[in-house]
Amino acid sequence: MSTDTALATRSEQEGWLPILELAIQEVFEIMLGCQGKAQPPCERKQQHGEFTAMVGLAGALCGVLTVRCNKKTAGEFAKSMLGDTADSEEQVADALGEICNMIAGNFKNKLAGTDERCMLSVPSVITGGEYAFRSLADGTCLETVLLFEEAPVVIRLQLHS
Amino acid sequence: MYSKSARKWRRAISRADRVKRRVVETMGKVRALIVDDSSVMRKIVERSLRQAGIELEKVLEASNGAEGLAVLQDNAVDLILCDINMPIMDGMEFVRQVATMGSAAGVPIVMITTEGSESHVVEALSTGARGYIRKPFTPDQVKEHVLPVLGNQS
Repeated sequence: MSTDTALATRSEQEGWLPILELAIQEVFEIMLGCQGKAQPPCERKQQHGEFTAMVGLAGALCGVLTVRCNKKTAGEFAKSMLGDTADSEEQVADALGEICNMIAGNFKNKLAGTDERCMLSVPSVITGGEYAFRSLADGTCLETVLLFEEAPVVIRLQLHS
Repeated sequence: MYSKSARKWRRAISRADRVKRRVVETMGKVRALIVDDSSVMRKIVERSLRQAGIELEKVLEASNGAEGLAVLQDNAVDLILCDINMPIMDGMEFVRQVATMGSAAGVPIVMITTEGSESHVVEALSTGARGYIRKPFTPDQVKEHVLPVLGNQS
């Protein structure tokens, strides 16, 4: 079995989705002061968020973590983190990028034996609704949708096969 | 009248009170440098320091290690809080460089970062950082890691 195949198998066998969800919950609770309510898979619709934050992972874990939401939700995130002083789009994008960064870091720190050999990129944020996102990391995909004030926040970890 | 040993104890207690007062006074005048590429995170760190009961006389900000070094060349600070993953110059290199700066070499540095692996912690501490906080963090965690560093400094 190759290392790549082993990684994809590992993510399924070890049940990484609950670990990712735990990492997300911790970030939401500590930094946003709320518990994101998971949306059941059957209720999920195709989401075209206006804000997408991305953090790349390289090394033992290779892929990209994205956090996608609409503009209003991204603004609420920034307000939760900064108070009412969060008014510019730059601050909103910065806040969403940091949330994405903390989720990625928290997730990899929870994976035994992976955190030491995995690097994170500086976060990037895409704004605007008219785009399609395709990652070349075409392996295992872990996805969860949380409801933040009834609006969906899609968190996806796409791993390279 | 007090016995000789009672006077000795009173003197010791009084001395301890003076030391405690000095720590509080010093902490009441903290000049901090926060180095992080996210302006949102810099604001959150500053707010957490205030929530930890640390009165800040001045808060300086830098968005990467190179900017942080430039700030330190013109300003004296009592505390540095620093991220690791940053463009241009990362936090580890910044800590190494600060150790070679005469004026800032003794300033306590606390890393605040998502890089929480044991190897990162060991590397940061061996490079010269005095504390390590993992993101996401609570104000209590900031208090727990920053106050001892400021106390030791005084």
